[in-house]
Amino acid sequence: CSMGSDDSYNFVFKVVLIGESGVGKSNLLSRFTKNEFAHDSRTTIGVEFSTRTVQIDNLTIKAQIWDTAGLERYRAITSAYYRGAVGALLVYDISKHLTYESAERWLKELYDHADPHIVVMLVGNKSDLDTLRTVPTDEARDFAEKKGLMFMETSALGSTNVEAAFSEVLTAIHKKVASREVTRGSISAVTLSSPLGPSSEAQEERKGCCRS
Amino acid sequence: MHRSLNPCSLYMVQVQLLRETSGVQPHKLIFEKEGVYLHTNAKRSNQDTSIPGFIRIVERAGLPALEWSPLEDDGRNAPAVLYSKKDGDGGEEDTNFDPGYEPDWAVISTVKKEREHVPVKSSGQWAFSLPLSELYSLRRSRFSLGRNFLVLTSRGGHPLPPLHFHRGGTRELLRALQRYIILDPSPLDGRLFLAYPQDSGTLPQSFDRLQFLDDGGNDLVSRFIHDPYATTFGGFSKVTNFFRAALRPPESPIHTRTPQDPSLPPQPDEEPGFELITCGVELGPKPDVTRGQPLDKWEEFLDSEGRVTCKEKIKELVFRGGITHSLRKEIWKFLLGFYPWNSTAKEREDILRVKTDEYFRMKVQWKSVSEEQEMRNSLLRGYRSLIERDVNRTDRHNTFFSGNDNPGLTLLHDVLMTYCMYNFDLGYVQGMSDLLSPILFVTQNEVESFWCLTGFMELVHQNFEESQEAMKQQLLQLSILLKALDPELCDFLDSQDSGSLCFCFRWLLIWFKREFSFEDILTLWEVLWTRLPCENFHLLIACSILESQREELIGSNHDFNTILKHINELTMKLDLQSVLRGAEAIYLQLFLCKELPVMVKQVLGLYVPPSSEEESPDSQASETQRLLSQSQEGAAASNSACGPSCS
Repeated sequence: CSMGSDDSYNFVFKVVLIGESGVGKSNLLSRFTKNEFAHDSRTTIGVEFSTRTVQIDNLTIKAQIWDTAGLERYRAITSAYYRGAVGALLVYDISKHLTYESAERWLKELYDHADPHIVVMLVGNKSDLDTLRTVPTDEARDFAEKKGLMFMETSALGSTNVEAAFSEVLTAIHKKVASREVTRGSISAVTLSSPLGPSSEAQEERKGCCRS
Repeated sequence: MHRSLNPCSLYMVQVQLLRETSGVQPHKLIFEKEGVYLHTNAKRSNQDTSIPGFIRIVERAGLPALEWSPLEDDGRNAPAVLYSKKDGDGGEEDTNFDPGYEPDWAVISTVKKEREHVPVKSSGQWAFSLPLSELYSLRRSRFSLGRNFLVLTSRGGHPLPPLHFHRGGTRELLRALQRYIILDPSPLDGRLFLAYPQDSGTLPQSFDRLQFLDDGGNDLVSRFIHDPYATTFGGFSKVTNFFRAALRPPESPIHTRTPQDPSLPPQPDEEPGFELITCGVELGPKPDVTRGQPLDKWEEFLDSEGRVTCKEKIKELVFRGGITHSLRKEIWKFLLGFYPWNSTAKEREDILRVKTDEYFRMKVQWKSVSEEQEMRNSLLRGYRSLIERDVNRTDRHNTFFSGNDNPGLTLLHDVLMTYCMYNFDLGYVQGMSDLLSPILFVTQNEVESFWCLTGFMELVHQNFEESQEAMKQQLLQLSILLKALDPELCDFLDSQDSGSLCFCFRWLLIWFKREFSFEDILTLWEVLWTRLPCENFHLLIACSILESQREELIGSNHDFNTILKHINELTMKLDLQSVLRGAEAIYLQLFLCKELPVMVKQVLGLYVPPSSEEESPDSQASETQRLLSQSQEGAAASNSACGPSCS
């Protein structure tokens, strides 16, 4: 999984960041797409997104990462948030147990609005605050396993596992697409098209698979 | 008497002709809503698609029916599935329709056999028409995101595929249905409604039975149907033909327009479906607008006892040029209502004393809550935790809030906590720290900044409410304005699924705080606080920005995502003075338009009910005359005499 700047790509994967306010969603985004981190980055209002192009299995994948306010009321009006999402990072703060407790609620909202085939990873962020930890790693991992989620602890500040987290999610999405577990009727039609890209025919799954 | 249609496009009337295959008679469209997605949800064929389309209530030969048809269908095909009485469908195969969301909902559905053999249906095949007399029940469920879906069941026991209302409208639909049938909430399940004919006598005809559906106590739909001009459509949707019809000038009679004589039936070979007819009035040229210098005099506007002698004059000057920084601390207190304009210096001392006491009384309230108490007060705990998180990420690049242990951070925290005690129902909502920080920066005073914040919040508190109705309303109002100003841009945005203008959400929520530099925000806000020259001037600011981006937006082949990205990335790139000039020019252009659609007038507060004078009121006219003359004089205005309202 490496940085790429070329505008041609085989797939666009839309991935959403969800979780309580202040858990570090925007910093995970800026770390992954711009390698930036700011302690005092502003609260997110409305919807923002950044993209980064990565290589997975010799395919060029444009990851479109959407970030939004943790506050539920502001998402109501920007309902396009979940539309077409094929991946989600459900983020909590390992030093704030309350943000972990709400994971179930976030999961419900996600499944209410997103494609049922969506790839979800539970992400315990701020692993650099290990001394203040209130969410044991094992507990979170067990929860993730029970819910069928991927799991990872990250630190946007320390740049730990950020790359790995996104990369694993994108790879898992690609596997789903390639294995045709996801049919054209649901995920692919919405998300694998890239009307702007030169390779808009890349929405043909077959072509994607055969290239690898 | 109605106006003739002329081809210049300002707004459009969308005419829809519905036909059956059997004949070509047009049918009466009673209600229509776009953005209603039919979820096919047929699990066994591994299809889980949703098809965008329209829900309509249509009177066919005088009999009302509820119909859904896909977007691309244009209503030209007859519904593939006509639901009728059960005995007419005997012998068909049963299929389980899984609504996918409600585990307690399970009904057996009868689907026509041919469907079974066609795993992937074209979306048109999902269209249906259900006579209202055949509607048995209706279940309305709500996602936490505010999106509703309906599941309808016919008397024959056929459940129809779930309909998801991506752009709202279930409430309006239910209200429209009530013209024909009684919907009685099930005593066991408040979301389930049983349908009865209105004359059945089974139930008293009580309209109130549905009142709980109505948050605001307003009967939106029936008001809208009977008086579209006086009603601001509260929904959040693309412009439907109802909405477009309502944009017609008030003299126009309400009937569907066709290019030919509407009394004649359409010719059989004529393409049925949607027809856009442009009509309207031309906006005049945009007047040139000149901005003025910041207001830099104050003492000379006060009488010997310290009263402001001419508040209108001051507001005009602030509107035209803002305030020089050293005077902001004083004048903001008037603009934000902390001091009445006609108060004497002595009275202001008293006000300050009383308000200081009041502030600290409220501050003590949260300060004296023990940790143990707070454990049992989840609301307060929630507010505090959000404030603590947000204080650390509000304008940290401003020297007043930068660095650790900056006293500015403590002030920000304390004032916001005290605001929670002042308005505990609303409490702290993200975005409010953005509103406070410039005020705190200017007043440099805890008590004054608090009361100025309450004054600002008087104007915008609804933006932060849980329901977000005010935000939806403003986005709708913005689309009304934009439609009048730039229908082409509107159509482009519609075509890219961006007609809701939700990419302007951040602009409107916190009055462009994130779009301009800190210094520019001080100017923009004081201009807006004058409430000149009309209501909702902040929406004209938004129009001005959008207009400045129209070529880039339309010309660059943007889609939904890149429109959002482009708008987000305008932050810190906009020139405030030209945005302000543009907004004022738009206002003057609209104001001078003789045939301004009523809905536009209503948004800007220029609407005068027909009972009184036909033209705009004198006060508005004279105020605009002043603005017009000043916009030409520009900076020289500061030396001119007081306007008429000051005498």
